[in-house]
Parts: sequence; C-alpha cells; structure tokens
Amino acid sequence: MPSTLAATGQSIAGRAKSQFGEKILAVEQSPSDVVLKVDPTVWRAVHQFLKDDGFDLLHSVSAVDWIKDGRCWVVTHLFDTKHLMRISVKTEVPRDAARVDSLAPLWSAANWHERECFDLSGVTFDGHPDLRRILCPDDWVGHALRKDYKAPDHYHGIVNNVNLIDLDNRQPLPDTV
Amino acid sequence: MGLLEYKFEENIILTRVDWILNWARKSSLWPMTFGLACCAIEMMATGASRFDLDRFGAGAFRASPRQSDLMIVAGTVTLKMAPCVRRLYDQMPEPRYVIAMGACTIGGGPYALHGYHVLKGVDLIVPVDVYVPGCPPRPEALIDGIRKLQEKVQKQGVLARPAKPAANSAQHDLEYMRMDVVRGKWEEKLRMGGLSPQDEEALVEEKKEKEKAAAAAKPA
Repeated sequence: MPSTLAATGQSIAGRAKSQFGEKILAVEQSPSDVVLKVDPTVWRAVHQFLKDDGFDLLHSVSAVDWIKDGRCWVVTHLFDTKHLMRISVKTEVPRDAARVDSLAPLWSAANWHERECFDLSGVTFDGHPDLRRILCPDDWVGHALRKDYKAPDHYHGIVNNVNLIDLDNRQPLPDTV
Repeated sequence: MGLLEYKFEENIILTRVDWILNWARKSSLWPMTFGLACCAIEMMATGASRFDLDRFGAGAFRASPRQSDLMIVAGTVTLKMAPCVRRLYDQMPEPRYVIAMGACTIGGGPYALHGYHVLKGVDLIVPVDVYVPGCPPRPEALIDGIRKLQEKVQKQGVLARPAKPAANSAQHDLEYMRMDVVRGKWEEKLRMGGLSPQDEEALVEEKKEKEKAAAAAKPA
C-alpha cells in the first residue's frame, strides 16, 4: 500500500486550513502520514469535511493519555480508498473532562471504536447512540489504559492481585461467581 | 483370585466394583467443546486426525455441558468470562473433571502481574484436577494431561474416597489437597459415606428457609 503522498495529503490539509482557519491548530508532516491538529469544537465538522473530500474509511479512534500535562489526545486515522491516501486527525482535551463529539453519525464503524475508547481511556463521546463499555464488564470501575489506573485487588470476591494468593493456604471456592 | 480361579465359566472376570466402574469412566471421558483463546487451537489439533485424541477414549467433544465429563479450560479466562466458566462447570453432571490447559489458565500466565482483567488461575473459581503447563501446550502435552487424569480416575474410590495422606508427607498429593479445599460441605459428606439424619434435617430446614426467602423476595 502506498503511503500518503505528501503533495496530495498537504493539499487536503491546506484546504481544511482555509476552510476552518484558526481552528486547525497545526499541520504536522511525518514520513508516512499527515496529521491535522484541530480544536475540539470542530472535531465533527473537520471529519465531515474530510469524508466529503473522499476519506471514506475510518481506520481507528484512539486516545493518548498525557498524565504529566493533564491532557488527553483523541486521534483518528482516515483512509481514502480511491486515491489510497491516509490522514490523521488529532485533538487535545483536558484529561479530567475528556469529551469530544461522536463520529458515529458519519461512520457506523465509529460506534464500537468509540465505545472501546470510552471503555479503556475514559473519553466521553457526545451524541453517541449507545455509549456503554464494550470490552470490560459493565460494572467495571475505572478506565484501564489511563496512566494512573490501578487494577482492583478483588472483583466479585475473586482475588485479582496475584500477590494476594497464598499458594500454601488456598481460600475455598466461592459459592457463586 | 487364586482360590476362585477356574471355578466359574470362562467368560466371567472377577474384579472390584471400583476398578470396573473407574475403568468405564476413564475410558469414555467426554470433553466439552469449549475454547477460550489460543490454547483452544492446540486442543482442536489434539482432537483432529494427526494426534487423534479418540485413541484414548476422550475424543467425543460434546456441545453441551450436560453431556460432558471433562472441561478442558483452554485459554485466557478473563474476569468477564469467569462467571460463564463457573456456570458451565456447575451445569456438568457429577463426576466431573477439569483440566487447566496453558499458562494463563494455571495462574494468569503473562498477565499474572500486570493484567488487570485476567483471572489469575482458573482454580480460583473451579476445582482443577490436572494442570497442563505450556504457552500453549503442544497436543502431546494435553494428551499426557488427559492420561494423567485417567490414572487419577482409575485411582478414585466409587463408594468412599481413598484416605487422605498426612499433610506434608511424601504422599501429600496436590490433587487431593485441592479436592478437599474446593468441594462444598454437603458434597464432602456425601462422598465420605452419606448424610446422617441430623444432616438431612438441616438440609431440609435450609431448603425451606431458602424457599421462604425466595417467596418473600418475589414482588407481589
């Protein structure tokens, strides 16, 4: 698969810049990708613009936790299946109130990606039709990929911390799990 | 047998009830079709033509726990999956056996220290008879585990369990220790020679209380 052509990727980035002005905070160029850094207020609008421009495939929705800065990135990777181009969109939100608009109205693939992002990184997606946990159990506490996450020592009465298991003196099995 | 030999017709074999029942039991272990992760691939290979688990009488994989004798827990058990594993075990009829296959199932494996949602050993929720280490174990290892289980089945008593060896003695067999720890008290008493009349009364009382509580909890 060819990587993003620098010229075309730059041109769509340039058009987005002219469309959204100051809301496009930066355009970063890496060897394989063009990254649009946008303001969270235009998160969905930028994606709508890119989708109309041919980036019809949503590869992923993910988040990065920058605990020292108190910031959190939400990153999407888009792909143009006709011209074989890639582009990434990135936004930065406060860690305590990580909240962006949902992309589920644009791509139905975003539905489960955003549920996963919510489940593991604790990002809330406004306008998501069904924002529940998808991997962890429904009654799970916390978001596992947050850098300050501590796994629970017990879950439903089952020891979850391997250091608490005394191999010479095993506890009886629970009646129900 | 010496005195009784040749005293009967030739097609009569004399043996102990224990032996013949255990022989039947061990020669027809029906495992449950139940795979959780990559170990299940090795379990499938074990059942397929190259390794042919059926040679050892354990190749009839059943699609229902109610028809199975043996649960091969093959793969990482997550905390979300743990209640389902326990429910499947509870649905299996006695006598039932469990093989913990692979590092994850034995003690969490690579997820033991830093995995946040992996059960640190399936023996926290079901009693395990045989542990088969490996990541994943090769089919030969699983076959060896099943043969170990067959040896164990052949040794067990049908009417009463064999006496427990003294703790920390050379014969202090891990498997018996686990069996004692994990069985519920009623099951234990049944195995040790039946319920006394007092026990039965208590059991009936307990059941009545449970029914009362259930009736009270039911919304009008």
